[in-house]
Amino acid sequence: MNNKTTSQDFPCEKCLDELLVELSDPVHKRLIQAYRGNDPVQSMESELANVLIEVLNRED
Amino acid sequence: MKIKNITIQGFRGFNEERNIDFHDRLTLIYAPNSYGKTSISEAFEWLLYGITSKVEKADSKEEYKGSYRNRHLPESLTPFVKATFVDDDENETEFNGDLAEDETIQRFVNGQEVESWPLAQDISKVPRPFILQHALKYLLLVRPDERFQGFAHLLGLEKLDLFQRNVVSLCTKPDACIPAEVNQLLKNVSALEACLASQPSLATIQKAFKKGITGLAEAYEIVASECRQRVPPETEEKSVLPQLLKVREDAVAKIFEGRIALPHYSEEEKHANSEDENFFLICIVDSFVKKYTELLALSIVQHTLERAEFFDLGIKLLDKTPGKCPFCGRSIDDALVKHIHDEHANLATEKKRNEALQKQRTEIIKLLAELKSRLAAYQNRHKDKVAQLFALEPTLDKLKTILVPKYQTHFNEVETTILELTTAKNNLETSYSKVLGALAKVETSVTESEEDAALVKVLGETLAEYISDARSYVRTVIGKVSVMSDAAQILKHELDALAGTEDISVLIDLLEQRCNVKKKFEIKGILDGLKALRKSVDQYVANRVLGAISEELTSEVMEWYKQIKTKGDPDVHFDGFDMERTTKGELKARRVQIKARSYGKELVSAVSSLSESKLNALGLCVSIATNLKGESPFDFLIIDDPIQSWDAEHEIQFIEVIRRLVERGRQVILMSHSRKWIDMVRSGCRTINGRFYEITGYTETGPHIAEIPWDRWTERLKEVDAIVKDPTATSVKLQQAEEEIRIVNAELTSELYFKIKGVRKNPHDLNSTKVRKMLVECGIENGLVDRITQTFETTDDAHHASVDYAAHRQRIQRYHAWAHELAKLLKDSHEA
Repeated sequence: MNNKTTSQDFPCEKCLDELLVELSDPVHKRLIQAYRGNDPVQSMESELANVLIEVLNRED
Repeated sequence: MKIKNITIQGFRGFNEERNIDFHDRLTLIYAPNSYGKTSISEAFEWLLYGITSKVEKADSKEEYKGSYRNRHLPESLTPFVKATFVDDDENETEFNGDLAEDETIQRFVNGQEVESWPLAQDISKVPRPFILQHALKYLLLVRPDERFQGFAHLLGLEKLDLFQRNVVSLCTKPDACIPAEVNQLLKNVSALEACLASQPSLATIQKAFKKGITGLAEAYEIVASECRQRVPPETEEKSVLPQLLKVREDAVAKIFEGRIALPHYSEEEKHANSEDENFFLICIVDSFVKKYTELLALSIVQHTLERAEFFDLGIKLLDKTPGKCPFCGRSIDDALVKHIHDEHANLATEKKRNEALQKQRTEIIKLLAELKSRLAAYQNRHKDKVAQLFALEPTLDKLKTILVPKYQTHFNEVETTILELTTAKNNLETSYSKVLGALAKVETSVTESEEDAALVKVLGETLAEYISDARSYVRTVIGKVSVMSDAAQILKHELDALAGTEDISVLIDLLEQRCNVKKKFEIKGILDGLKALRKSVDQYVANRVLGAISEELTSEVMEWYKQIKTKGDPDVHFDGFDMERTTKGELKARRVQIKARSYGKELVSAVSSLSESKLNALGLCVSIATNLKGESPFDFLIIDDPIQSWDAEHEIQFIEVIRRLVERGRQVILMSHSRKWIDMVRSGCRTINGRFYEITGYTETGPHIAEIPWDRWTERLKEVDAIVKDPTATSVKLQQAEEEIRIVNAELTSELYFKIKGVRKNPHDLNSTKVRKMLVECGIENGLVDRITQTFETTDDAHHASVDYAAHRQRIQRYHAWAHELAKLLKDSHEA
């Protein structure tokens, strides 16, 4: 069939990149950067856990 | 793509198979309520999406279970919806959806089963080409958050909406993401802060702590000062903490010497455990078992070795006495000498293989020794973990006097934990002993060359059981760490109270946990900072949505709203979309504002100000605007009963909207329960010459659908008369007249055929060939047949005018006269 090809699919990746530019806190950047893949929520939650574990394990 | 027709069987209100052909521009369907109108739009929705929006948005899906299948359809038949779609190049594709028993849809394209429809884009991401009665309910008259979601959906911003909700969820409830060890640190430091708060003499430290991480340095300066006051003045800096510890320990030891201690497995210990377990598992795998069983061959080849040694000696001696046996001196011929040398070479090869096996044995002995050593280390690591707690057991009676009755629960926890961990430890020791026993047997079998595959099997089984018991043991220990930590804190607190060392104890903890205190502040800072992240995301999303609704949606909706807008008083109308703002002017999260204006003044909200009729009209405009916005594979729009709860003025205004939609290339399928309004639409869109259906009744078999002529041929002829007689008629008008003549001729032929042959043919399906054939069959004289057929010459079979078409007044006047000839014939046949 001769269908039109333009999609209205929302460019979420592009929005995340735009948002990252607006953020200055490195932790916030890491969390938003983690919001990708098949399970972005799980990925973001894991990243927060990683951030906290890094603080915990840091040798001062 | 547009819809050519639909066939429905056994779906919703349809039982027996029914077919509806659609006009490529406008089709009207009238039916009183409950006669199956909505089933038609639902059939389209289900066919395209596999689910109807009514079911999709239902609070309880259970309530709609089994609702697709018509209850009266015979068991043997499968419900289906079939539609023919036509693309821009006039290619036809048949989509067929069979309703499976599990209520899913089985898709067929031109008879071939497919997983999904062959559309170039994901149709879930473009607006659905339906405007349904309940659309408004889900968009405007809902809670603000649901309205925001509705708009996000309309604007194709669902992913952004979901992203925001996910971030908000994380930022407001991060607790589930905090690892247990981090929580433990937070808890420990909080307990320390509580102790600090209970010491008035240390109030200045607490005050500095309240400043957060910025007050940490100041707080520790005061801690140092307080510590100095509690040790002899000559104490060196590095000796302050040991001195304080000694003071406290001496005081407390007079009351109780034991400690409640059950530490977590450190990261290092966890890593070591994991490495050891991996090593144990390697020992059970096939490669080890294979190597071990290969050693069995060693005993078999032992005699070969002895023969080889004998041959070595024989060969050496034979070289010294060529041609004679070195033992008895008898002559030996060349063939026998060659045989002896060949045998020696074979035995040498065997010997080499034997050497490899010997090497393998040495490796296995080494591996078994390592297994033994690592098992011991692994076992000791687990045993040591509970050693301190078990050391408390003989002093439990004394501990009871300190903790009970005030801390009975904590004391019970200590007792229970010791008991449970003793059981776990005993289990572990039992399986450890089994492993050692099995290992010893394997070692002996190797060193004594009595390998037995059964022994390795037992070793594997005992190792697997041991690892399983060890993991269970670790889980038991970890599960008790927190409660033991609480009990330890309580005991410490009580002992300090009894010994009068509370302040010293707090200072010791502050010094010892300085690093943890700092980490706690950092972690709290990260968790508190999530509020700022939420705000940033809220603002970003709000700005994105604001851009979409104010820049694009408002103007497009306004364009349609102006068409439908009533002109009289009261002058209260929709005035665009915006995002709600705080008093500081910041955008509020997830709050779409629908603005309204009355006599030039802005109102609080359209939802609270507009009448139901106006809100309905607005909802419709939003649906139309979003449907026309962007690219979609669908060039049709199905509008189901839009005028419910509308006033007369909106009803009239909306007819113009329909006309404009058709003019913009949309194929409109419009359904309504109001015959009066549908007639008004037909009249208002008279020149579109669409198709009109009436559902005249409803029985168990389903709706009875009758096609009604768009307009009577007599009325059409009158209009053609007027155009032909009008000397100022434009070419557009003349072209319209020519088109009307063809419709009239098709209708007249259809009626004549019915009158003479008794068979009803749909005039919409007739072209020049069919008309000619039918007129001949009716016995019409050849001259008139030729003339009537000639009226179709300026169009093709699909009624499309050729590219070089030009309206010609004289030609149309002739066509007009011939149509009258045919009309007279029909009139005469009636009179006869």
